[in-house]
This record gives sequence, C-alpha cells and structure tokens, in this order.
Amino acid sequence: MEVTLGQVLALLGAAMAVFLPGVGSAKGVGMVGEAAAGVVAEDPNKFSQTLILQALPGTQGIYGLLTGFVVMQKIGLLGGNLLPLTTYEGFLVFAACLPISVVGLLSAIAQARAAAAGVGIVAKKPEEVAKGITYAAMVETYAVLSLLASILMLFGLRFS
Amino acid sequence: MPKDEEFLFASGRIKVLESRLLSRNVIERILEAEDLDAALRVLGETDYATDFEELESIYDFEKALERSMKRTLRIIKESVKDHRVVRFFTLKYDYHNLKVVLKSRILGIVPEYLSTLGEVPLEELVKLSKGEGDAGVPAAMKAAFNEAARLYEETRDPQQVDLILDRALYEELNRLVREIGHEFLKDYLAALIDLTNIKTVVRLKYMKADFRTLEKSLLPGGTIDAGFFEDIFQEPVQALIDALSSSRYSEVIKEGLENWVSTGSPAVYEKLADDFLLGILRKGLYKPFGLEPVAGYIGAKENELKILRVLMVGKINGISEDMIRERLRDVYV
Repeated sequence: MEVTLGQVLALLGAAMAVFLPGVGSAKGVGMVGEAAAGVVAEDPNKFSQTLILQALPGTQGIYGLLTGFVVMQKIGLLGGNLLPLTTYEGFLVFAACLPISVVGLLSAIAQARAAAAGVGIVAKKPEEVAKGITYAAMVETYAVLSLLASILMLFGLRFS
Repeated sequence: MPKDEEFLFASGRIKVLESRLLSRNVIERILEAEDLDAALRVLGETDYATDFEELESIYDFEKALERSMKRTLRIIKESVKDHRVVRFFTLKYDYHNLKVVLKSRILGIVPEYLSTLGEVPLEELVKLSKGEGDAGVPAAMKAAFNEAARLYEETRDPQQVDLILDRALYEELNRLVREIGHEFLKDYLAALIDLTNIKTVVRLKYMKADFRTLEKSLLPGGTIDAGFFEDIFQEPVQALIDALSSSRYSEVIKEGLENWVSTGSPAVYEKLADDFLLGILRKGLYKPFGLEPVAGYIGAKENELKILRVLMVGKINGISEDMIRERLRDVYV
C-alpha cells in the first residue's frame, strides 16, 4: 500500500487531538492533586470532596481521545482500510482537529487553577464545595465547545 | 522567581492551617477572661492546647509559644521545595542567638534565652563564641560576629554589637529576597525596613543621639533612603510626619507618631506598623496558591504569637483590659 501525504496529515491530526489535551489534563489533574494532598495531609476527612475537584480537568483528555477515535474511524484506520486521502483532504482532517487540541490543552490548565482554588474553599468551608466545583466547571464550557466544533467538522467531511 | 505551582501542596496545607489560626473572637475571650486560669481554659480549646498543657509553670509560656512556632516551621519546611522562603523568616532567630552568644561572652556568663527556632545549631554558635575556627556557622554570620566582637573590643560599647548584627541581618535578608526574586517578599521587606527606620529616627531623636549613631542604625534596603532620614533628623518629629504624609505609610505615621509625641511611648506606632505589615501579608489569604499564602501564613503565625505574648504578660500581671487592648495587633484571618 502506498502512503499518501494526506493520510500522514490526517493521522498527525488524530495524534495531536489525543496528546495535547492529554498533556493538559495530566498537568491539570496533577496540580489539583498536589493542592488536595496538602489539604488532606492536615484534614483527611476532605478526601472525597477534593477528589471531585481533582477529576474536573481530566475531561479534556477524554475529549481529545474521542476526537482521535472519530478521525481514525473517518479515515478507515479502525477498519484496517486506510482511505487514499489526497493532501488537501488530509489538511481538512488536520484543521478539524485543531480546536480541541489547542483549547483542550489550555483549558485543562486554566480549569486546574480554578479547581485548586476550589480546594482552598474545601479546606475552609467544606459545606461550600459545590460553589468551588461550579467555578471550575465553568471552564468546561469552552472545552465542550471546541470538542463540538472539531466533531462537527469531522462529521461534515466526506471521503470517497 | 519561584512559580506559583511550586507551592500547590504547601498552599493546600496552609489553607487548612489558616482556619486554625486564632480568630478575633477567641482573642476577645482571652482578653475578657477574669484571670489567668480562665484565659488558659480558652487557649485549651485552640491549637495551643498541647503546648500549654506540657508547661510546668505558666511563667514559661514563652516555651509553649516557641514550641508552637517550631511545629509550624517544620510543617512548612517539609511542604515546600524552596526552603529560602522559610529562611527569610528564621534568619532573625539565628541573628538573635548570635547576639546572645556574643553578649554572654562579653559578660562572661553562660548564654541564656537562646531561640530554638534558628537553623544554625546552638552548639556550633557556642563553638564560634569560644573562638574555634571550625564552627559550622555560615560565613556571612561568622564575619558579622567577628566584626561585632572586634568593634566591642575597640569601643567597649555593647550597643555596637546590636548595631552590627542588626545591619548584617538585614543585609542578608536583602540578599535573600533579591535571590528569591519575588515581588511579594521584596515589598514586605522594604516596608519592614522603612517602618523600622522611621522608628529608629524618632527613638534616636528622643535619646538625643548623635548623627553617627543614626548613620549606623539605619537599615539598608528600604524605599525611603538614608539621606532623607539624615536630613530630617535635626527637625522636629512633626516635620517627619508632614514629609511622609503622602507616602503609603501616612496613616501609621500620623496616628502612631502623634501618639508617640503626646504619650512618649512608641506602643501605638509599633502596633500600627505591625498591622500595616500584616496588611501586606494578607494578600496570601486571598491567593489560592503560590508563595504568598506560605509567607503570609508564617508571618500571621508570628503575629499571633505577638498577640498571645501581650495577652499572657497582661493577664499574668493583672493589667487592665483596656491597656492590653490598646497593644493588641490585628488578626490575619
């Protein structure tokens, strides 16, 4: 089978959609985890509340993986029948991967900062944990919007 | 400059510890307690319970406070990667010990009231004072110690020891803050130095000290330069108040110095200056993570010990509630 530049570009897009938000989520979950560990070191009862906050920046990584799967399915990689994409078609797939890649990476870190601040709320007023979660969850909006954009673009593409 | 992310663990821990600092409410209850026993009962409900329980005599309350501070410093040291932030606060205890050791040597007595909060081992300091060259004391401290000892030999004036070692302490603090490179500590140290220098000028005026003593007593590194103080030294205190009326310290200076002029006591100025510094530190309370909460908390703990010291001394000596209240510092939380 002859590999085309289009196929390479499409696969590059899929890889990017997985690894950039993945890196962001890993960093984000790690950051909140550190702050949460500090709280739990002093007050072990706050484990479950801080765990919710820690999980929040993890979603971007999942969105990225989802986008990666859609690309793989779209270009026939999952079925083992890689479509013979032209260079322009490859660029289209790559472009569709951009929103979730960039927004996923940056929003995960921004969300982690908000969630780490939420950990501070849990430390002082554990009954107000919902408010901390809400603040951090607001960041999620933009990760979801970028996922939506990427997925709609990919679904709109038709390859012969 | 250390990144905020380096302090995530410590900040999380501190957010819990902040909630255990004494609230204004608890301080009021201690203040309003009928006698010492009642005051101790209130303290028994706080984080200080174990520290005070272990005391043989309440006159040793300083030991309980020191134990509590030691615990705080240990917790923070094990939570931060960048130890220099803690060093910024512990350096003064080492210099305090240096002074005690040198003055004891001068008087030919065994050093007493050494602080255990410093980071240079006490036995090394004793070695240094015995003139042993291999004492494990940092070079800057060693140099300051020898300089102070030499100057004492020359002048036979024990005040020189304080002057030299205070200056050395602040030079080292300035160096440390430059090295850390964080605006928050820079700002705090500059304000601390300015407020100390203002106090020095007024104190020396009242003591009718000469110009040379002023030059030696002014600490380096503040935002108000030494030239200003030297110019204003011959003028009445009111001139100093007017000259600094548009500075950031205007409120501290106006109320504090006017009170000092009318009562002859710096107590109100000292209280206001401490409250001002606490106001700078309080940024740490509102920042979710970073160097600020860490430094702010250590400063807040020091402030809390000052409050307790005033309260305990007041209660032990049966001083009236109003007199104590006048000297009570603001609280951090």
